[in-house]
Amino acid sequence: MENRLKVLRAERGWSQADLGDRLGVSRQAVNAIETGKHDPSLPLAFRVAALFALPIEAIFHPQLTSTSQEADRE
Amino acid sequence: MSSHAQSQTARVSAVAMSAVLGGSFGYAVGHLIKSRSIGLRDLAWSDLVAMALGASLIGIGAVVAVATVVRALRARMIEPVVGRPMTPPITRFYRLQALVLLLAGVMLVLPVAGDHQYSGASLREGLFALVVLLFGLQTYVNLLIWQRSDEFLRKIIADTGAVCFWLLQGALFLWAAGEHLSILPQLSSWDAVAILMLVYSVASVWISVRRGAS
Repeated sequence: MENRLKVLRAERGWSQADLGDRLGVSRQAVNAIETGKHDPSLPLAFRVAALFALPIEAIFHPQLTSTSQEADRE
Repeated sequence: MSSHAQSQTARVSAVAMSAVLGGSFGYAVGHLIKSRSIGLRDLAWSDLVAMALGASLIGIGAVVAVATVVRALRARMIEPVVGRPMTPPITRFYRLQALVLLLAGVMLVLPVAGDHQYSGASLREGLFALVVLLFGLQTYVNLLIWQRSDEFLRKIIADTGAVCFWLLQGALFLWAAGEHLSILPQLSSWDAVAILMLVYSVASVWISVRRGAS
């Protein structure tokens, strides 16, 4: 899953720990999400979306592979 | 009591706890080695693994426990990971993790040390009762850690459990089949525990690094 979390966080001048506090998770969790090593749960994704006042799909989007792109075209 | 006094009390308690645990462990190991109750040659491979793992867990647990108290150590070890000065809930969380490590280490060392140190049945029963008690306490502390973890740490714990299950159930099956056919030597349950703890330790570090828990 790709996401714009790092950009959105940087725009607000927040550290990973600051964002973690606002979301109720650890700094490590924020780091893992930003680097694509952890996909957030649906409740956490909703909290992220609410915090940045954006729809979920404006923050998170799947990594498109050739197979999924072909499936989308069909 | 003021917050400064509470903090002083907590600091003294943590130092005292670490001193008691570390001192007891150091005294016990020193005593065993001095009395030659435990010689490395006397130990089975699984006892060596258990002792090495146990000593490592006790060492790491003691360092984490002390780091929650000593500012310089905390600033170098924990706060860069947490990303900010430690708050009381984070301090408590790290102390719980230190306690789990210390308990796991002691529980691994006790059966090996007891086996070589005590021959009386009643002493061995007492030691077993102590291990059962420590196991109950560690289970409770593990539950507290699970409750206080976020979804990321829970994912790491669950992934570690899953990896260990799939690896070890496969290995156990193959070994049991070989043993049943008299191709492989028999393993004791303590041998199996030593392998399990070793695999669990490696898997937890590997998954934490792979998941980016840094």
